[in-house]
Amino acid sequence: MFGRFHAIALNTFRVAVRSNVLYAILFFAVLLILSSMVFGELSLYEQERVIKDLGILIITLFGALVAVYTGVSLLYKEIDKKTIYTIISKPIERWHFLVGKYLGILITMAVEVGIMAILFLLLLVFKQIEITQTLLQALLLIYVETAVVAAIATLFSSFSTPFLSGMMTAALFLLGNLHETMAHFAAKHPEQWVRSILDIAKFLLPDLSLFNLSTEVTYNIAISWGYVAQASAHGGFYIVLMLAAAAAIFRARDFI
Amino acid sequence: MSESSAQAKSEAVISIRKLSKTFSLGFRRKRVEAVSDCSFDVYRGEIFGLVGPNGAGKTTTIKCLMGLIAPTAGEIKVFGQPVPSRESRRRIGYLPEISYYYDYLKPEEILDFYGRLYGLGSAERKRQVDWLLERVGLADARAKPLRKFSKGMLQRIGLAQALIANPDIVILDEPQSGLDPLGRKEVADIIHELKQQGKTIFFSSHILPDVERVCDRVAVMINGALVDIGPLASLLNPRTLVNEIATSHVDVELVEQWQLRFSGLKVLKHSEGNTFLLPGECSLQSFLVTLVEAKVSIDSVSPRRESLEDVFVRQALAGQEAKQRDSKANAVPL
Repeated sequence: MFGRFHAIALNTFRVAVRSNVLYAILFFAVLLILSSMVFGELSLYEQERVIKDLGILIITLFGALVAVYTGVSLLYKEIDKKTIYTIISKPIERWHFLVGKYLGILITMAVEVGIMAILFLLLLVFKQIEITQTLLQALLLIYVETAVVAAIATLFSSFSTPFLSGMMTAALFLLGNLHETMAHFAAKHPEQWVRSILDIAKFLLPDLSLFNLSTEVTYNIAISWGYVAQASAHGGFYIVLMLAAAAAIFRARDFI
Repeated sequence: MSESSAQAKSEAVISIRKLSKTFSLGFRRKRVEAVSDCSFDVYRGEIFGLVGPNGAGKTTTIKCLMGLIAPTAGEIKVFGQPVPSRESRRRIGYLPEISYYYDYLKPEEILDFYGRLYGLGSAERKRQVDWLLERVGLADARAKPLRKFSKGMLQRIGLAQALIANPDIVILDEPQSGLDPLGRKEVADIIHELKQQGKTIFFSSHILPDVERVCDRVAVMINGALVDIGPLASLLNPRTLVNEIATSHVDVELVEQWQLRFSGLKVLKHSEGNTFLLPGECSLQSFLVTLVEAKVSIDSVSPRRESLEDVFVRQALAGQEAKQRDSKANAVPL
């Protein structure tokens, strides 16, 4: 069974690396990471803080962008171009195909986020800024966050068009990052029905703010590996949930 | 249509019972019945052809068989295994009607990929890839990416991927479409070769002469329903439909006299003479004697029997008439 996942994942990665859109996204990300050096210079005494803040923000946003793009386009392409016919007619389960595709997306994300992270670390070395454990933990959690976003995108693309899937995934990414704000708002709002809606939303949405360690990186606050594991487990749980829902939808689909 | 006793004794490797598929299309979820109450068996080692006009339900039937579409009703079994299931697909090789492949891959890479999906080991994959590329005539193009392939070459790759795991059943949806006459002959040769290896071949085609050339049994589908099934010989009318007699020029008055004597006689005039089309019911012998007595030189006599195309057209017209009758009967008076 592993051989089948491996074949589909590798093929997905091969398709992804041929996408000009991904190179364009990476190019802009690299440009912005380098430009954070300029912003750092302009900020006089806050150089280190600005470079770290901007670096983390750019990697998070562009990582999410790549996750949305690959998540919504790669599965849809297989269906649209009908390459899926010759794959799911082989002795594999449909969920094998879906998980294989998702693993391929994860490899693509690892390369994309990895390139951005390495460039960011090189920039820090060049600027003689200390690379702390918190910073490495933050980069790791950004990758987990992109994996969650890619799983959400995969779920939507199992039944919707790339445009709609992209919109819905982006909306969930934003709301997921506002999880903490929603919790505060829900606790203080006077109306019961608003509190109820926010509570339901809080329950359904992934808490992506768990993966955001930018404040801790900026102020060099130590984070335990236990926290990283807990946040990753939360992400992992959400990924399994999303992929299970996508597999159920995919299983019932007719490929006309 | 009754099955021959030999077929009745052989094992049904594909068994389709009361298969129906209704699609709900568009915003208003309009219901379209693509396949209606179809039942048939495909026996081990035979070449089974499914023919019918566009929209008859052939591809839908095949997609149900491959588990790409869930039937609305009915049951399909492959080697006794229910469809859809991995077990049912393990022994099948499938070439879709419209198939696209990863165009950046080379033939050996794409075949290796499909081999992995079947769970073949690396040595077996290599052996199969080499053999199949040779067999479908793509050995010289193994280093070329698929985006540089012609439609015919892609169809060969499709055929090769269907055969990568040496399946017991090969399902080919329009395998000869897009191929030139030589390519079609090669596909027909491969189909015969597969039959000699003991494989069962189930294929659909619009190219009826090719179906006639290779199939042991044929099923005709019209408007989603199976209207005829059986060995080719039992489907085709063995009687002569018409005799074509090519002669030298004949006087118009004589032709008019003969047309009164031989009911339904038609004549085609051309620069080198005439061609008489004598209905099968009329006596060929009497007509030839008449020609000899009139001192007309006879160039050739060709009896024409019913072809699969004639059966197909006959059934299609009957289907259209039935549909029109139904729609009139169901029409609401204003």
